[in-house]
Amino acid sequence: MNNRIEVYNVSKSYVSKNGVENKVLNSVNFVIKHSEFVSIVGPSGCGKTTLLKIISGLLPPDSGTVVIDGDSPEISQSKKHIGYMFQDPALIPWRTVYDNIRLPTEVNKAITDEHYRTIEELISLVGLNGFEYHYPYQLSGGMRQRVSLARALSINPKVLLMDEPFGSLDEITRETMHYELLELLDKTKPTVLFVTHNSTEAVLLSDRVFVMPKSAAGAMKIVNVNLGRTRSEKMESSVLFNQLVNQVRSSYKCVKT
Amino acid sequence: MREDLINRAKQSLYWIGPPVVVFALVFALWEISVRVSEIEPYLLPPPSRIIIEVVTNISEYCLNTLVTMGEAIGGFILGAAVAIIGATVMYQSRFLERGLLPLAILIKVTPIIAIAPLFVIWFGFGLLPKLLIAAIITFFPVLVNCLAGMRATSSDITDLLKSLNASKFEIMIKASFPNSYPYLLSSFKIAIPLAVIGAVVAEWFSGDRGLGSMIIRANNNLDMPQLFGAVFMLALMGILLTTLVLYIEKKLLFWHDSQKVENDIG
Repeated sequence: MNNRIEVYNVSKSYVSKNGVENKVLNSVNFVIKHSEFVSIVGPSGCGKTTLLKIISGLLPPDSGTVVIDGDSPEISQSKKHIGYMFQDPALIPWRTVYDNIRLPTEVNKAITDEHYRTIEELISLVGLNGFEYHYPYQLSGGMRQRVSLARALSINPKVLLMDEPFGSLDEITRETMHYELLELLDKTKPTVLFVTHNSTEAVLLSDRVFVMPKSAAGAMKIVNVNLGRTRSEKMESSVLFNQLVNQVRSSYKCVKT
Repeated sequence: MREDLINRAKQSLYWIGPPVVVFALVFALWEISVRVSEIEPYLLPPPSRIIIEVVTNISEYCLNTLVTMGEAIGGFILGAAVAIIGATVMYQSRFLERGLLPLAILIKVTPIIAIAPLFVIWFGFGLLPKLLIAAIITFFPVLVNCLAGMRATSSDITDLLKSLNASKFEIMIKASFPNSYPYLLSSFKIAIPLAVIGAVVAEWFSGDRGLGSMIIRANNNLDMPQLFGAVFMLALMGILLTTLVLYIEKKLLFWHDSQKVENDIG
């Protein structure tokens, strides 16, 4: 029970249609500790989503290994240890909120865990009481993303992979979602890998921020966010917070060139 | 309660009003031009003659309509069932898709008018050749649409299910197959009138019941009012069946963009 995400020497390249090999990940290494929140920041096309897909076992790396809580991604999949959340809520439109959240527990039934949260509990955790029997088309963008979050948490995942989950939300909704997420994670404590291209968001949420290089040849920079685990809106205007955001931004710019 | 009733009446009028007006105008124009130009009724009867013909022989028309409708619906169900099974098989692998698609296209491009007499020789004068012709004509649009609908499933949803080690079968049942419903219903709208045409064409070559046989008989006797009467009944059947599909679509696809009118607060 260490819930760690370990990535060793992972490389991946794509061959484009005209035969040019395009390296997106070059020997990536890192270890994310138990219950740690790590954000990966980087420009579009730098391989953030590819990295998440490799960690979740959806995509095989060309070389290197990934270890999740001591298991390979494939075994973690079969044990249902991985929670996944996308930029698009990706809800099933013909299912109600309740049935959407229940979806992960309905498949791969060989694995059922008595530690699963009840759907009712998840609904109240994400603040959707009264919307159980609504359909996705009846919800606002922020509510849909809350359903998506509850769905990811329904299997009580050891690791939670989030691919720009708030990227398509408006500023106001996104800000409230940040604090809701932190509060939720405080209760569920999975290890989180969060992909974003918003430096402020990364600093606000994370214990550490990894800045990905624009091209695979560059090195990944790590910014430690020494703000303690409890974050508040007051903190967002503090000098230290802004220094950290600037630090992420400058390493972003520095690796970009 | 009373207001609800009034609203409903308003709603029905909203849908039924425009087509009623259009049809009334077309029929009026038809009636007037036939009478003014004095075209012989054995060439083009006025709508009033056709309506009188249908009303006086209503039981015969209804019986034949039911026969043809039964053949069309039976053939449609058979063809759609085989097409859906075919699509789920082809969905399993690109190899099977590549292998089976040419066969499906072959069935599609074979003119039914050419194989209908052949089917009479093979399967006799009974119900079977009519069902098969209607099924064949239904098959292709349903197959292609069902497959396209399953393939159009959001890759995020399939990725999510894969990350939970869901089986291929689970992914199909939970995501891909329901995702094809809007496509399926669209193909039904195309296939239902085609199945009616199939049944009618099959009747031309065999049997003495159904609207198709009635058309052939009327044609041989130069009985234009009867010929047009049968065509009217076919048109009515087409409207009825298409409306039925539209109704099912509305109930089943309440979640789909195509059915969205209000309720959207997103």
